[in-house]
Amino acid sequence: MAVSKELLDILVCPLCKTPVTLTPDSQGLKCGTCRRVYPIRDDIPVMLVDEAKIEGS
Amino acid sequence: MADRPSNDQLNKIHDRFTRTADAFAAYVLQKRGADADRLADMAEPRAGDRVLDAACGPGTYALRFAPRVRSVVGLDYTPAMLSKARSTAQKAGLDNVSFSRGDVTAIPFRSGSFNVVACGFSIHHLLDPAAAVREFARILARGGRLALMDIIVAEPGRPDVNNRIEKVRDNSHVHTHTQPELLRLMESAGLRLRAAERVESPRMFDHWMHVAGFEPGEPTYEETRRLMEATFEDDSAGFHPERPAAPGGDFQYTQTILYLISERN
Repeated sequence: MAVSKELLDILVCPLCKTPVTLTPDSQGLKCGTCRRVYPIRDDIPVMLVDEAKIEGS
Repeated sequence: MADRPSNDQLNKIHDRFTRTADAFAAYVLQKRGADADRLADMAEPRAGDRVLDAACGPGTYALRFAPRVRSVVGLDYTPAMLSKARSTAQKAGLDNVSFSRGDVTAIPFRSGSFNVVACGFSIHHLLDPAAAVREFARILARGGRLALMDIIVAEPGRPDVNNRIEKVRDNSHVHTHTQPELLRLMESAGLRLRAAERVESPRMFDHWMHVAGFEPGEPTYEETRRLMEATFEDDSAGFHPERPAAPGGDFQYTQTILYLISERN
């Protein structure tokens, strides 16, 4: 059970409120503005700033 | 972000609801279902609605709303609670419920994306409840409803006496509001009150302590009990406690619960 489309449609970065997109490996959700990547653990998005990694490029 | 105090509070919430996950989930799913139904009735959900259960715990409201609406999202900070909620939803055969981990004061959803936000028994755990209610207002669509319920300090109780007892029992407790304080929180976020109901909910003291993870003889149990017993005479905490039949026996007290429905214009 992956993250549902229903959820992907409405998820945003909790910090800058930019919509997030699934990373190519489907293991995270990336904010296009602040470049934070939020992990997906056990099919549940972890939308916490302290748990996110800031990705280059 | 400069949010260390808030993180300390989130750690307390995480620890309390991980430590007591089994007792807490068993209690609320069995005993709070009727409250959840009442809140759902008051919120008047429509079949096409998208609903958020904010600080969903074991999914008390999510599970009750799910059969009545298009979809429900449960948001909570504590992974142990999200696991309980998800497995309960799966066992109930609900396929329109999804979950996300997050903080209700920094909600990870688009503005205007929900028709109903339900939030039960959570406001008293928050250091900045105004921030949470502002977030609830932000994610509501126009005409969307916030269905909020929480314990309140009932007359003639004093907030300081009431909250001292609550904090000794549960170190993740921050502040039980009075009814006027909760109403002001809604108004400050630009939400318009549609309905308010108060319900008296009698409970037994020993079970209340059990749900928080403490049994008779343990220091936290004894200290909480001492503070509660000190209010038998004047009801200064507003818990309306009744003296036990025999000294040291279990006794009844009353939680006063406020149900509030407010609307985003």
